[in-house]
Amino acid sequence: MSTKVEELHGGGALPLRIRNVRKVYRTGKKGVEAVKSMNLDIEPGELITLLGPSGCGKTTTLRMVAGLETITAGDVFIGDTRVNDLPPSKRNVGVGFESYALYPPLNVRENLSYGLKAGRRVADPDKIVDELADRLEMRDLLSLRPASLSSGQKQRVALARALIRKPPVLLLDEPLGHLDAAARQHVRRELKLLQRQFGYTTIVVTHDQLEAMTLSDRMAVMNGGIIQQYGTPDEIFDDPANIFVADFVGEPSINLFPATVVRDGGRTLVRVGADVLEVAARTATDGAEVMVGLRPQDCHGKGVTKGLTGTVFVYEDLLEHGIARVNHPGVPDKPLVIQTPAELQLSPGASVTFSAPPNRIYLFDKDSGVRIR
Amino acid sequence: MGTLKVRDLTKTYGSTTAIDHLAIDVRDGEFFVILGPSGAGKTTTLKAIAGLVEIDEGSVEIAGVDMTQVEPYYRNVAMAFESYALYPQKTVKDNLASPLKSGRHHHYDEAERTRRIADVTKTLGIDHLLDRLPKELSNGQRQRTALGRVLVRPADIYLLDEPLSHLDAKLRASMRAELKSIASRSNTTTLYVTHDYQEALALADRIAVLRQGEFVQIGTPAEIWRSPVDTFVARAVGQPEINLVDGVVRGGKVRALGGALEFPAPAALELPEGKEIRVGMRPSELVVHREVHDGGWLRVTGRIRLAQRLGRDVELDIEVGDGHLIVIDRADASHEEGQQIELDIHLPNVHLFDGGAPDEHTARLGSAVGRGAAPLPEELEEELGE
Repeated sequence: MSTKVEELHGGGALPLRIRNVRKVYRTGKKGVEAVKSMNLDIEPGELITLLGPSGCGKTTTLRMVAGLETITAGDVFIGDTRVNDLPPSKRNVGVGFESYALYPPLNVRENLSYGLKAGRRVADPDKIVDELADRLEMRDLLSLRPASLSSGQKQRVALARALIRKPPVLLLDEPLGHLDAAARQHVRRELKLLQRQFGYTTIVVTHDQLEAMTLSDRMAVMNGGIIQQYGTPDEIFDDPANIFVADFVGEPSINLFPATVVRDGGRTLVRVGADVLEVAARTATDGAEVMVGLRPQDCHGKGVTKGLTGTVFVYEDLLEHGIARVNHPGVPDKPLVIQTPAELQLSPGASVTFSAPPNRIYLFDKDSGVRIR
Repeated sequence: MGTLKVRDLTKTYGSTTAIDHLAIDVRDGEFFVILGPSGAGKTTTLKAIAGLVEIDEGSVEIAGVDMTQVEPYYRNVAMAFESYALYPQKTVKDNLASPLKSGRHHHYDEAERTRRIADVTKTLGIDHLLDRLPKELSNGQRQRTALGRVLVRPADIYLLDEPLSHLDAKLRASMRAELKSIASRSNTTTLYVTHDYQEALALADRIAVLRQGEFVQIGTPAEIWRSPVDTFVARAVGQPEINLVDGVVRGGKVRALGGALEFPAPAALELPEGKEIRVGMRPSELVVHREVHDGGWLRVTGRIRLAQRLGRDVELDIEVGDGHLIVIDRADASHEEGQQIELDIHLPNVHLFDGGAPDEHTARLGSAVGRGAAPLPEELEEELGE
């Protein structure tokens, strides 16, 4: 045991494995299963995100890895060490949680160097603090006390404190949530660059799909205590496993509407009202009622004569591109959203015909929501 | 009739000046958006126009009538606050009827009320929900009902204070479109306040950019985009925000990024030797290696430091010379971190600003080819033959 625990303090990045982990909260006689048999493999130096709506089990998972929450069943390994029974301090994980937990009487520099010095000798803590403060654009905060910081500034300090010890495993809960838009982008890029540079094995919890897409090497999309899909941002965006993933990731969000499958020799088509679209799915059965997923960003109208034809209901010119909402007779209850190139200006009432590449039109089982490939 | 003319509008709180000599002219039927960060004075401006705060100086004229000394009640404006509530025990119809039963509008008879409610709910697409209670509505329907409570009142001007800010991103986008549709059909005069530049671009006939209680620029969305008066306005529209790199005039050339970015100083700007300037380039207007070179283009080489996927697009952080640039490209091309790439820069899209300290907002001088405004993205796309 003791030799294995030493592994956690060796300094190098470590893999992290979550095996059949469950978490049940007991309230009286009833149990609530917050995390249901979860499996996750994280490579050394990899940054993954747990993405999902509130209540999906993402923070609970993170807290179990950190040791702040007991594990009902299953195992968590950091390197080869099973850490289920180790207290948080022995796991040597860097933790940045939403509640910032800074020491009020210490100024920011002292808060940071305190974290740095805990348990070891450091030759020149001030230099390390200064360098990190430059990277996170918070040099001007160093002499301030936590009480005088805004929530965004506190968050930056909490992030810096988690990063500064260069822990082998870094756990971050909504690290950018309180930052304004411009600061969020900057800190997001720096976080990823620092993570690349120092090679922390990192888990980030977020409910923000854009944050997950931009930060992740791989991302686990969660709902109802279950991982719906685990993959690279490319795989998640371009090859969603089910309706939940397709709908949760992407902004503006994917169009979802019912259609009927038509097998035509080797081709698969879907009929939407009077229109048909060619799709790439090969296992769909003729006549099946399915849900179609079509991303606004994948729609194009140039040179398209066969596709969906509808009437523009609203057009928004965002200069870099436009967003049109189009009423289609085959999709009665809501307009279809399409993203249009800047040079195309549309007016309400205009008729448009658009389509998408067959491999960008996804079919899902109407009942289970599972992707039909 | 629904015009608004504001002059020298000033409000101080103790020694803090919240808004400072604002002048606004909103035309009849116009959708006018005030865009600014939190604390800029947006809400104070709306409240001052509505008469809800006592102003220190200035005048407010609504529909041609001086309302400066008039009680809010009689100004004939309808104002919606950031969070507006519905009566939980009342149906949609009764929620909409209540503003018509009180105060100035109590003289409406049943038939007139029913007609107004029918009009507004039809416009908002909630006319089939009149007998539902708020708890039986979706979030979007509730939001529309709340908006309906504002719009059902006849008013010369509608004042909307960040009405979408409490919605999640998806609902916000669809409600923004709803508002756009309502505004274009109903021809109401609207003064709308937001910190979200996409809302401003999507909705506004004109945008006023507010900073620390002063308007920095007033113009159409296209004017704000192509000819921002200073770095503050340039940064206020567009995500990721505009790249700003420091440069200097040397030997008739503008040099930045350690010499990696160099182009002739535009003669029309008469930039003196040694002048410090700031070069602005929008991430979506930088182009990753295309076979387009008709003059007016500048090619620089760099190395991809980070590639971050943003939906269909990818955001590249590219090391160029001694600095770096953020660039948006389509995700279907391959982008490996560490890869060398060539970046094509369309000089008319390069903004030049005065030099200054990092946090200083400095004035726009022109573009890399002269005094004029930059082309719009649609013109750049045409230039690229896309």
